[in-house]
Amino acid sequence: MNQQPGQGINRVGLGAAFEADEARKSGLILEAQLLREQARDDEAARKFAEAAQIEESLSQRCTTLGLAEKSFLHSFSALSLWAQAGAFYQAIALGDELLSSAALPEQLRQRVQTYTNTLRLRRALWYQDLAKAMAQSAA
Amino acid sequence: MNGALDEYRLEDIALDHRIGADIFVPFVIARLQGEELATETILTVTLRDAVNATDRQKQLRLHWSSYSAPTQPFGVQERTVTEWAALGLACVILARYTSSRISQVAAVGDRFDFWVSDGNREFGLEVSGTLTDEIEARHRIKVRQWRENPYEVDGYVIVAGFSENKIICSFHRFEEEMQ
Repeated sequence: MNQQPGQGINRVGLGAAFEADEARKSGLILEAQLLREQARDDEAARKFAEAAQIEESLSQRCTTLGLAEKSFLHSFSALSLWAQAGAFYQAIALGDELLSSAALPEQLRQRVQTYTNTLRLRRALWYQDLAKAMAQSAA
Repeated sequence: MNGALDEYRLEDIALDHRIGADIFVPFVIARLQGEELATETILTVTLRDAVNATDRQKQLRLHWSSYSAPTQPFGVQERTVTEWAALGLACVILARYTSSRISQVAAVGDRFDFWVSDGNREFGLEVSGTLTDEIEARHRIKVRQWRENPYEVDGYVIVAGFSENKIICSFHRFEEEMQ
């Protein structure tokens, strides 16, 4: 299959160290996904959080290299990974940071907006459930 | 159909893709080896160029070491075994039939599973597996899903049908398909 794709995200100029970190975070995500499927949630969350930290670093390095689209890609992934680690605060803060960028493409802006809105709603529901559960356990 | 039989060693996905793809190997074997504990199978691969509306069919002999077979239950649902087996086969098909390699796992919300790279640019790859023979219907659903990617990038869609050991691998250009 010799079809050469055309419309993609520029990754020219990234070195071996960057690629090694991309590979490491990908391995962590796959391991975390498998652990989550196996209901090993604490181990999964730890790996999701480690991968999120790597994604934030990758995003910053792309910004430095002038690769704005790729920087957004890694930031959005970090947002998603923090959410999967159960870290609402970091995920929403990253979402707000992305939305503050005028260069964020419109389709991605809508996706980030929906994601952060959903996280805020889930956080409120989660806290209601937590407060109710704690009250019941104290009664 | 091309009469020649292509070959690929399943364990090589770990070398061809840098994402820790070895994790998929036992899942692929679980879905393909059958009760006789085979160490090879023949896959019928359709390489679909959606841009030019052409199909090419290939016969692929996929083989593996018996040492790579799962030795204990995965502890996951059957649908997860099927999806992860499909992810492993996607690694096989990309490596054998394209010049693209998986560069990283995509995020929840990207609307595809992996980013693939030709060395200079990254594109999407959406993958799915099914135990039914409705592989074309699943493929259409997955193409629609790929079109929702917020980066508006070109990409591949690969669907594996384990009831008949068939695979569809298609390539799509975002702008042309959205017109």
